[in-house]
Amino acid sequence: MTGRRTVYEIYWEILVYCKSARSFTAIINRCDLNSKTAQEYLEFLTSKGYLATVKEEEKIRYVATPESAEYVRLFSTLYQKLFDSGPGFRLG
Amino acid sequence: MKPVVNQFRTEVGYFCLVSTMNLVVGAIAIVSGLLYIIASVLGLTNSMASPELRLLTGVVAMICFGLGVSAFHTTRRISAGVREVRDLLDAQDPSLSYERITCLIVRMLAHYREIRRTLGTVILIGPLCGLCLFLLGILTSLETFSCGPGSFSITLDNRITILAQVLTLAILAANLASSYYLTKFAVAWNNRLAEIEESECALKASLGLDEP
Repeated sequence: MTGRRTVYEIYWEILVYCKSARSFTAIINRCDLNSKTAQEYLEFLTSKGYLATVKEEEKIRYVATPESAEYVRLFSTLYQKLFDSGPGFRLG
Repeated sequence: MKPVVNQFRTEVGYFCLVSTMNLVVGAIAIVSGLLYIIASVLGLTNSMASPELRLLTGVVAMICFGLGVSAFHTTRRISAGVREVRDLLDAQDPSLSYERITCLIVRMLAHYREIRRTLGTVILIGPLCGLCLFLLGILTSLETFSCGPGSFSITLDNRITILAQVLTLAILAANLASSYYLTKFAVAWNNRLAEIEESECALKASLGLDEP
């Protein structure tokens, strides 16, 4: 995903993508991040307990924990609420 | 969730429609501007009343061409990202998942943050483009004009005037309409960005970032 995203949007993307275990490379590719910032985001989410690391075939993978569900749900609710009202016109 | 999907889909669809209208008018302005520049420079428009009028037409045509290029380029830039979102929406199952629709909303918001300033330019350039085309229409249909102290008279060629003026008026109206709708979109999306900023406190708290 390109464009300007807020840090909360990036956290949400990472958590949703990591519903199943993902490698670091897969996360930076999918979430369009550079490795330095991705490392910071992953460290933050891991420190908060929203992401856990698992070892699969000698590779470290990240997976979202059940604690992250509340954030993901709150984020989705807030963003979908934005469309309760439209621009206030109809073209057809 | 259904109303959210419908509202989002409708807005994205209308945005694409309005931007297509802007693209078409931009292309018309480019072609018309170019044709009138060539005609004025080479003096192909023999019907024109005076060389001054030809010069004036050339200047307006150049402005029209420049505005057309600018309108076309900027509209293409802003509409590319929206079209991507629309294509993704169209490719989805009608019963979009909760996460998928949020993902597309995030994508659209990220794109809107990028095009926010450019959209302002498009809103401004559009009507100017239409106005230039309208002026070109008037200048072309001028048969004679005279200007004296306290008096000003013009004679319009009726054969050209009716069709050309109706056409240029329609283009001007289309441009004004597209600017109006784009302004409405911009206001709605700016409000959404403001709402997001407000709701960031809740997200912050959820992440435990507001703890001392």
